[in-house]
Amino acid sequence: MRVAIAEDGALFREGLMLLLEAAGHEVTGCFADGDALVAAVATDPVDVAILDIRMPPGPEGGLTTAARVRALRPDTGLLLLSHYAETHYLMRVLEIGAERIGYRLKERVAGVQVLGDTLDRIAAGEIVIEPVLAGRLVRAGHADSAIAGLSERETDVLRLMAEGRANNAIAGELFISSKAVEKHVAAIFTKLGLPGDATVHHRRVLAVLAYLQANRIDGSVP
Amino acid sequence: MSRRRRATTLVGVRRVVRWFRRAGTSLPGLLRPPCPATARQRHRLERILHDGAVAEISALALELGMLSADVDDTGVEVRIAAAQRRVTHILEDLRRVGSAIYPPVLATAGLGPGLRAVAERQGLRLLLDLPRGELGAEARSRAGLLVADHFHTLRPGSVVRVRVRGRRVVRVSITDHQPGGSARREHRAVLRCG
Repeated sequence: MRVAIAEDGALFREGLMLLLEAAGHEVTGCFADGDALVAAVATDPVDVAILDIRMPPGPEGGLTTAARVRALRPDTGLLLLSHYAETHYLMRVLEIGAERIGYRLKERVAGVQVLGDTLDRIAAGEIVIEPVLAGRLVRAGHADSAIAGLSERETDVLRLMAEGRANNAIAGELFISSKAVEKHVAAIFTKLGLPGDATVHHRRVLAVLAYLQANRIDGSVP
Repeated sequence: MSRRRRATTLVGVRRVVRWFRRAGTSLPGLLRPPCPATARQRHRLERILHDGAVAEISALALELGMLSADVDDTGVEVRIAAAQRRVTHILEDLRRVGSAIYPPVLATAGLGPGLRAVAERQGLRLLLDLPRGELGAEARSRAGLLVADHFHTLRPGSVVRVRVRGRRVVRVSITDHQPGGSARREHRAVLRCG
């Protein structure tokens, strides 16, 4: 896979480049800011661009750069990295696009296997969401009676859906059949009253995340 | 003031206090906002932590990931995996410290997103009522830190309303209701900015 990196921290940038090369990927360029990455991608397309969220230009330069790359090269996958797992950054990432995109904590992709898996999923068109953040959203959602009404297995499936996992990946993670996953997904959509088609991957991720976020923020007041 | 008039005033104050108690509320508490120098210093400290220790340790996590890919010895692999877990825990602690010093989303995205992010981490239910126009940088930072620091004193599940008004003279009012049937509390602060 051809990959370009934009990260203002020299140590992390170098380490990421070495890890990508160890995983068998070709690193076409390493840049300290978003403008340089956009210029490079314009002339030399890549499969996935990896961007730090907090880097120049601007306080959230990685997000503005990712939006520019998406406009310029819609087929290029985008992996946004951060030291912080925040719903705000996740929602900004999903505004840029709901396909071929990911948001992960930096230290959680520090392995050949996990980094390779993340890039493969993005290149295949999936949304990849930091499991730490997805888990936090689902746990916080337990205050909501509809989520509290899900079975333990359905809660596990909900968490994996919020991570952007496809049915076969959920089945592999939970050691159940794809048919069983489909049944759980249908039950979750019915119990939570979620809109949209549960079989269209990115739509179902968006529906789940919108539901979980709505249950935490700007709730009713006394 | 004559003795009789003082007695009448005291009776009036007692009546007002009784009325507040009956209404299940209390007199608004005054919150002390951080001064501009403190707000700037806290932002600087969070940046130092983020660009220094956190960045170095994240690079160390990558280094361990590289080592893990290179070794064939299962015992060494297990020890590297244990070291990676410790690095992850250290970063989680540093992240908590950094967020408490200066909430990262407040620094990058402003008052509304910043306070929502802190409320979500603290497990609070929040209603924000902010001015239509964007506040100046100093007002945003000081009001944000004032409210975020108050959020850290609340128990998860608390319901909290925050209202911010003004531009140069910024008035902040916070009403919180903690779980467990405790009384609703009100807090206020006034910040002179710029």
